[in-house]
Amino acid sequence: MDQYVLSEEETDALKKPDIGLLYVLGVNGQLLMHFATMNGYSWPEYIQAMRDGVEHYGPVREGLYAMIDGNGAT
Amino acid sequence: MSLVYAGTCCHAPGITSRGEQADPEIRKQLYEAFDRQRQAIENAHTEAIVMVSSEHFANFFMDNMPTYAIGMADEYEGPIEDPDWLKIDRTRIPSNPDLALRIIKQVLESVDVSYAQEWKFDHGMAVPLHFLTPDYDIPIIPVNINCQNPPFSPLGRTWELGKALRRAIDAAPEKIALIGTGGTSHWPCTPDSGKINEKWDRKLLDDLINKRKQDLLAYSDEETYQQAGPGGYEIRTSICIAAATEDQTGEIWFFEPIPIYSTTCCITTLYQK
Ligand SMILES: [Fe+2]
Repeated sequence: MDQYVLSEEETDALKKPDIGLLYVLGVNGQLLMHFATMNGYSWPEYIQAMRDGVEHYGPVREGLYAMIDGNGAT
Repeated sequence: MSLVYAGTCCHAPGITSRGEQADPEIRKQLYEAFDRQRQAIENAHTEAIVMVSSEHFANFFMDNMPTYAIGMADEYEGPIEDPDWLKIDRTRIPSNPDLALRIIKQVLESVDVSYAQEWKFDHGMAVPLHFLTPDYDIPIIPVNINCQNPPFSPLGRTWELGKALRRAIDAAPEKIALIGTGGTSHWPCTPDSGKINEKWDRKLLDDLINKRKQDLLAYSDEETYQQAGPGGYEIRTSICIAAATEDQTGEIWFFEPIPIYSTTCCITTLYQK
């Protein structure tokens, strides 16, 4: 990952991986979905990880979803 | 011979990947509607399908994002996703590069499009093709509209793309079908996944089949995002087909919100010869 310019928080989130934090940092779900699947997440686990991320780290900070309330489907 | 059929359909990956999790009766009706569209394409003796979709970062990425792209490859491959996940076998999809070149040149007369000789189809193409050409025996010419990340094509320009495609199709001797895919409300791959705005979807479909140009061009990105989620940006694919078929009123063949598929599944016919 050295070839990419990443903050410590981003590097840690990718290595762990912390799907919830990656979502909060602004990773697009069309990519994050597959990254989560690669790391063994089922669909409900992936959705829950993003919800947990928002609860733990706060609203999405950047990117396409910064405007979504992130509260999840009702 | 020109345009012989046009319509729109849904492409949510859940339709195949989580297929069995929906109400079996509703799923049956959806599959029947897809089959009706397949038959309409076949009955029109279609020699090529121009399919307007919005891919999801599989080929076109943030380092080089064309607003519009048309494929001119000899053949394609898909799905690019794990076939076990999408539950669609990876296969080769035939094309007609000579026809594609003619279409690209004609479209370039009025709309600046990019072109691509390599393109791996993601679910945005693979799901519709799985139902509409299950034997992969009709050449496909893919058209992509960036609906993933702003800035997006203004809807007025998307309308012009549809008009340009129609002129290009009508100038070709082949019998051609035009399919647009994507665009009802959905919040794909987000914590809001499964949320659906049925009222918004119904209005959009009504605007589409009645080819209400003024109303269709009035959907702002901000309102679409608030009302229909990031997946709503894909209205560009349907609006493009409505523009191409403004001369005929369309029909809704299927409309059903299916939360486990993350969207309202729709199938429309917008033009029949
Ligand atoms: Fe899509």
